Amino acid sequence: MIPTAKTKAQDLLSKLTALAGGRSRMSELQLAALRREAKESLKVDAFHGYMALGALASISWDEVALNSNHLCAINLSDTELAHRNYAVSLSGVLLYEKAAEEMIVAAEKEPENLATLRKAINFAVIAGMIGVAMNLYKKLSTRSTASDEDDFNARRIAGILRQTGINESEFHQGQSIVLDTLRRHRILPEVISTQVDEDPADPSVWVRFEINTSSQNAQVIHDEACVRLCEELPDGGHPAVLMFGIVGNC
Amino acid sequence: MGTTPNEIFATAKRLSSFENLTEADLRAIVSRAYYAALHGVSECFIGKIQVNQTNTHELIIDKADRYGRSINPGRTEAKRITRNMYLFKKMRKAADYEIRDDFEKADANNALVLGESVLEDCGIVQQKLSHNQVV
Repeated sequence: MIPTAKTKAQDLLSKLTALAGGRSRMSELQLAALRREAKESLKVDAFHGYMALGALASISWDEVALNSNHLCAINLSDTELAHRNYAVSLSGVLLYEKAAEEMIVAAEKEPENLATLRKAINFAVIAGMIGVAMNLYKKLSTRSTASDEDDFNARRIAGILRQTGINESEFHQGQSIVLDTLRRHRILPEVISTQVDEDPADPSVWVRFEINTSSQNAQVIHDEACVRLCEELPDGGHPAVLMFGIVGNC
Repeated sequence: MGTTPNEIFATAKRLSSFENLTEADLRAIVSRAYYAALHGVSECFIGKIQVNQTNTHELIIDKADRYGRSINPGRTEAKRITRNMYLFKKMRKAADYEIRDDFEKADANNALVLGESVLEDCGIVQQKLSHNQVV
């Protein structure tokens, strides 16, 4: 098979994907230069160019540009790649519910692509959409016997909710409140992890959002989210069972 | 003579200022910070009781929870204390019982600021209560 050269837009998109972890360290000048490059590439490869612009908009927390550029890409080519990249950009601004929806569309476009289906489960769990995650997991299990942490966590979280009689909507709303609090501060967590304690005397789900700042700074944002959880969850929620924590990593 | 929640917390802070902390030191910091906070919450919402009965931790946190659901001054702080204490209880359980898992300096730092936040909120509740009595 004769290898085909990548377009500048494809190259840029690969570069942005590789840089994803270091997005907070990109300067405005670097971003502006990459935006110029992406706009120029539209003349040659509009599909990848729009996706690159969408990814750059995600890094700049520009939701309007993110949506418009990715929708342009989808209009040009309604494929797994277009929806997957849209989902990833949405996750970059912590819109995990919409990101999960887009990743599900991507997975439906290429049913044999289990990595995309797994990513959809991951996004659904982070969004707090446990019922959706469980349905996706059932679909995955008909195609593969291997499971990873997200599949496992979805089942364990569902188990705790069943055991304690807590409505899934509370977990969903709790996740939404914390993600929204972080989004208002434009802080992307370095790690989102879920610890499930199945001790029958003390069952709990603890979602930990680790952010790249000092413990003191993280506590300020955590306390803000805490007040919102108390005020917005019906009857203050079930803090003994469903816990959400924003912590620093330095 | 006895001691106070703030003195117990000061022990946690003092330990954290040492160099070359071992993992066991980090776990001890979390444990001390947690108990400082627990005693602070107990004094705030129950009075000075001995923390030595089973399920006393839940009883203390539950008192804060009930206060938070009331219409008394300081209820917002009480709600925050409740949420933070349940989280803190899990952190302390991990520190004291899950000794095969890794434990980092950041975990100890997070416990210290959580403890500070809870004790500060306890102070605010007590201030609001005494102001209410004066008025």
